[in-house]
Amino acid sequence: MISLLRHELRVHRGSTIGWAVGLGFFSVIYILLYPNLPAEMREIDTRAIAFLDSLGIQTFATFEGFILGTMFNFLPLLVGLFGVVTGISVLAGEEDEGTLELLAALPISRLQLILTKAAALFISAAAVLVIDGALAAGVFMLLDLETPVTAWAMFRTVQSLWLIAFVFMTLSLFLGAYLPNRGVALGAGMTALFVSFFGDNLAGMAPVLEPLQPFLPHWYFENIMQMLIGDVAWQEMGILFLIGVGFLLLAVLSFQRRNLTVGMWPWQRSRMVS
Amino acid sequence: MSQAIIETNNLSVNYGQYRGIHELNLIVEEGEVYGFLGPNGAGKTTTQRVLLDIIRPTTGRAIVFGLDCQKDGVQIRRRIGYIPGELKLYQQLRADEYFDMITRVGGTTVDPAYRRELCERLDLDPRRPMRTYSRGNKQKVGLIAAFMRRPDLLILDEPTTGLDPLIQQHVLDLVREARAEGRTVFLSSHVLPEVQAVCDRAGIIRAGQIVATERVDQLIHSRLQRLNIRFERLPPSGALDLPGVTEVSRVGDQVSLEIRENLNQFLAQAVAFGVLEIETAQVSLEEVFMAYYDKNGEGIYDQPVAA
Repeated sequence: MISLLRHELRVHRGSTIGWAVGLGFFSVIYILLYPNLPAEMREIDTRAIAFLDSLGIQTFATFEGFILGTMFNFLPLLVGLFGVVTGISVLAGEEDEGTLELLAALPISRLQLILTKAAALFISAAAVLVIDGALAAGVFMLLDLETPVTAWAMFRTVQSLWLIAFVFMTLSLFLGAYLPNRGVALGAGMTALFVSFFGDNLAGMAPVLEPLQPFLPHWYFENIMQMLIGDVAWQEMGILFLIGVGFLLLAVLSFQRRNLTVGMWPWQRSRMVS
Repeated sequence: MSQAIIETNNLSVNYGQYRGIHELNLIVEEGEVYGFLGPNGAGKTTTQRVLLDIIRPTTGRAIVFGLDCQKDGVQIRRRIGYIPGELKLYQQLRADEYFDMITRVGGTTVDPAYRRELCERLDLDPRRPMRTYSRGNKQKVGLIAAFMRRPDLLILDEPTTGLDPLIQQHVLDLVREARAEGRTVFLSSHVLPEVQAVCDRAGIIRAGQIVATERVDQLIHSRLQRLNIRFERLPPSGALDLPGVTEVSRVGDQVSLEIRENLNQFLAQAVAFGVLEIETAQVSLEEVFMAYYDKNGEGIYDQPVAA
């Protein structure tokens, strides 16, 4: 298991570094932007405060409001994207490329194979977010702003995004194990991500959509990210964790039944299992 | 009597509306090199993937080393070396890193000297990134990965694809050495001369079913006979027509024929025209194989020939 884990981390090292640099750059840009904007932002804030309130965004005039409304508003989308892309690539992607057959022919069980791949994904997500959080907290400390936000709060709020990565990685593993090929699985994963992110934002403006919010992972993160200035939302974190565990179980079950290398729809596959 | 290393019982795999293999019965014995012949889409790769539990059977069973492929896949794969027909490698890794990985993940030991020897014999520099390799060099990586653990069973799907003739001979030597050490080789190939050169037995698969399984030498001699006969009186056209008998040419008083079945009946009819001389010509495995297919790769016989 450890050897395979090291192999997985090694093979996907480039992707992990790329995402870490990209997300770190995104966070640092927004933090550096804040000191140059407060006057303009206050003016906008006065006029748009009702609109921003409807989006659940705090006032842009403060650092915490600005960061929550910008960086922490979009990071869950980007981290979800990271989760979908990498989650699809390690299973459906490798199956399409033909390298999964090499691993499946080794003396390891399918359970070991998918759990090791999942563990490698979770470790890479943690690594990406540690780098992102460290960059964000470091730049924040350098700016020495007057704000109740602390560097530790900045770091840990970035780390809480791991749960978003966890949910979309496990969902993507499931889609990769259940659907016939990478293209279909990627399309389904991206659809789920956009429905979750934009559905949550739209539900903030259209009360008729509010009953759907409990089905959207990004809705739970709205409360979780408040740990930047408040307490840890353990309940919401627990719910996201359980959603991810549920998808992981589905992924394991689907992968155990899957006929690798043949790319079949589930209704075709069900006729193959003896 | 040798022990069966591979045994399939009425093994079928359906790909939705398409059939992969159909009630396939196959036995590969310990220590033999078994050639698995058939055109593209006949079911060779599907069969090999079922043995590795990469694909699950719709019905029937596949047994390797006396163990069930689906239930005991890990134990079975620990003793198998495999090269897939469409080999794809991790472009980011060097070949030696890949060899190290599969050794560690497989939980087996590899003699470093033997691994080096394989690299030298197949002329591969394993320190280069695999993305820089030609197709032939990638194939060598797959072959070394399959052979280096000295597995009890080698499953080789088109092992010499993309290799130059010299390296192909080295690969065939490796197959012979595996047999000499008492190991078993299950080899599918389109290159029939190489099957003829190294295989003890061969099975011909058509539309997912085994249509013939015999020792290669018997397969060659019993399934297709080529006769050149000189007659006292040249038989009129159609006089020798029988199922399984094809007249190839007539030159003077000599008729050339290919005979797949009804040899005795044919000879009885031929004698009536006064046979002066019978010459049997050497038939290759390729010609035998082609006797089971027409030029479009379709089966010639409606019913399978008894295996």
